[in-house]
Amino acid sequence: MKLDPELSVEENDQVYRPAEDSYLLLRALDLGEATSFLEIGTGTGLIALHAVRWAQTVATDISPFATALARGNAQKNDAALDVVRADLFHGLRGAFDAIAFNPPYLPLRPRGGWLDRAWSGGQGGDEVVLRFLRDVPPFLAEGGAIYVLLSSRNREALRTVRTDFRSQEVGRESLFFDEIRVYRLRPA
Amino acid sequence: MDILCCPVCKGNLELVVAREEDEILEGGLICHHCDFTYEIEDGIPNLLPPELR
Repeated sequence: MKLDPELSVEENDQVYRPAEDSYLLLRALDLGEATSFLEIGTGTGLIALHAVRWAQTVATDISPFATALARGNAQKNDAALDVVRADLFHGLRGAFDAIAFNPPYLPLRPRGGWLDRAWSGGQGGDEVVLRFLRDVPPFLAEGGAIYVLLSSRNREALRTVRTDFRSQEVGRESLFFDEIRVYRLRPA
Repeated sequence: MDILCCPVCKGNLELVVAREEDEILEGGLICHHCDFTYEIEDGIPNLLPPELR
């Protein structure tokens, strides 16, 4: 999807600000015929606010600051976005045509604080995304696709997307210290 | 509602509405099996399990 400069997306110091990774995931996301979309870890809600014009969209985040900001941004843009505070898929049910996640991927231990949890992915940077990849299959509708962003350092997650899914790289960008890639995944 | 369930036992939740304006702004989602209420505040259901609160 293309970034819509007309959207008004507020940011604040308590919520991960849209950065290269957010925009890479947005550009790679192709909702096609999808009628339902789930974004995990929505942050400001930027991606979900683009998706809501295409599909019935649910946006989640574990941070209370992110869910409040995303809901505020939805209201500012008159978007019918459902925002839910949840830890990955716990508390959700149903099947979605597309699911997207820009996970915390830096190899840092979370030291506490909601913002820190937006980028600290634990050992190897992929502890959260590995949980996501383990839990996602039953939430995907027949013919649906998962969009997930990974860093070149997330070695275990990179192995998992290749062995447990049919994966296709649909975006790539070099940052200072690593390379980030977006994969489109379908069940193997 | 149809996309939400108890984050602990995955069971059904009973919706209780306290304030509504076109959409539910304040209320609760009760899991009778776990005897726990997940609150809805400012239109946002909080489905974090008790141990993550």
